[in-house]
Amino acid sequence: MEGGLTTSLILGWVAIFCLAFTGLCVVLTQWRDREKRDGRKAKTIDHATLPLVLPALAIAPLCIFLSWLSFRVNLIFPVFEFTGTVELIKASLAPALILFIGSGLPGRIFSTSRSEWAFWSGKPFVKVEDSLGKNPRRRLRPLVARRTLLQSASDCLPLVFSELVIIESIFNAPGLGYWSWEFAKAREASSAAQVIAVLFLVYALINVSINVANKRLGKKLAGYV
Amino acid sequence: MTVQNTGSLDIGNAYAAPGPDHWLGTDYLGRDVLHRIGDAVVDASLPVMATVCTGFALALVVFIAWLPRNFPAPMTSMTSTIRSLPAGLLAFGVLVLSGGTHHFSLILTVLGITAFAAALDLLVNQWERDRHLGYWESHDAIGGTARHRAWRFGVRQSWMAPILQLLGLTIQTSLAIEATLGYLGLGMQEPKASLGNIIAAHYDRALKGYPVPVLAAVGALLGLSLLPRLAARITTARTTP
Repeated sequence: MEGGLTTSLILGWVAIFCLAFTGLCVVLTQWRDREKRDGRKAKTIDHATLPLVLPALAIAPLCIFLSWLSFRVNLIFPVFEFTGTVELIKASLAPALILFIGSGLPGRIFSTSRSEWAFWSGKPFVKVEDSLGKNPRRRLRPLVARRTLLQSASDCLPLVFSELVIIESIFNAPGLGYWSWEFAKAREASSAAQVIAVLFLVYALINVSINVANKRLGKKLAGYV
Repeated sequence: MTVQNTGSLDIGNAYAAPGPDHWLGTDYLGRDVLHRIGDAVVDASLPVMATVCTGFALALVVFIAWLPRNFPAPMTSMTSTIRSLPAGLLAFGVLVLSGGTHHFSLILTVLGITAFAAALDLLVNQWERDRHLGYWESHDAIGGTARHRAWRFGVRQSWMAPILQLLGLTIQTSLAIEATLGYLGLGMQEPKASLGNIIAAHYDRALKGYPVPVLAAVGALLGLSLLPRLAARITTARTTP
């Protein structure tokens, strides 16, 4: 029960980070595009050809040390039984942030939003609306955001689930990954296998829902020419 | 100034602070931490890189050998399924279920298979995308072979950048997976060194205010992870006209 709750909290925060970062990237890309169209020299940022993947094992200890040394903030998860819901939600923020960075999502969202914006803003319907004096970019924003979000999530989901066990272990967060490790250490192979099977099931469910959303969006986009 | 270049035990010198003899200090068994990190790179990280590269090379050989026949649907769906699985969780599950002693070779096997599947999936997708291009069909019409086309116009030209990017990404993730499993105690086992088990051995002490060995191992892991990115960037810049 507590395993499922902790993992859900961490994955929930990751989803919120994805949404917020996608929104930010789309707005920044639009702003950059406007600068270009206004004739001002837009700051050129080199395309990330390879998504930047910083292993969670490397950045999690660094964050824990730095937060403790600089701000005296302990990022290690509190004892579950003696902690309120709000505390748990707050405690899962740091593991989720490291998971978000460690899975390469920021780099992927950044590069996908740029390429999607370039692709869709070159479409004839945008140019037609532009020539009619309308503002097609306002319509383009949610479209690019949804495409970016789904594409990045689909690309980085395997890494999110690969890093989940180590994140929960380092932060001592009693999620499904942490329990599978605890069972593995105690040589309880059947219990560990059950927890890992649940993790694979959750992964498959999220993957299927992303694919369904992608297909539905694809049908909708077929009308945009 | 000389560095004591030994990974041998020296219990009386356990947890020595960094100094001229041991630049990064010693661990709980008195072994030189810098030497252990060097051992970890040679014994754990380099075999992982070599395995991933071998997986890619094997995929390339299988792909070229299979042409000009069509790739069977079960094979392509199997490679794309393996590619979409979380390799870290898969390796973790395999290690937990195996319960054996050949931890590191099992990790290398899983990483090699996933690298092979990812490379083959990419090559088949690129082939399906490009095989009907005008100049590819013209080459076919003048008697060129499919293998020659795939090698000359594909692998050596337009597919080079995506292949290198995928190779770089796979090496990055594989290094992270190996170190992660080492940290969890499921990968490379003591007394052999892995960056993961070095971090695990010093983690508690780092939380008590002595972070030098952990920071050094973390630095090495970050450096190794960024290396393929740098290499892919340089090679892509050279191959892009």
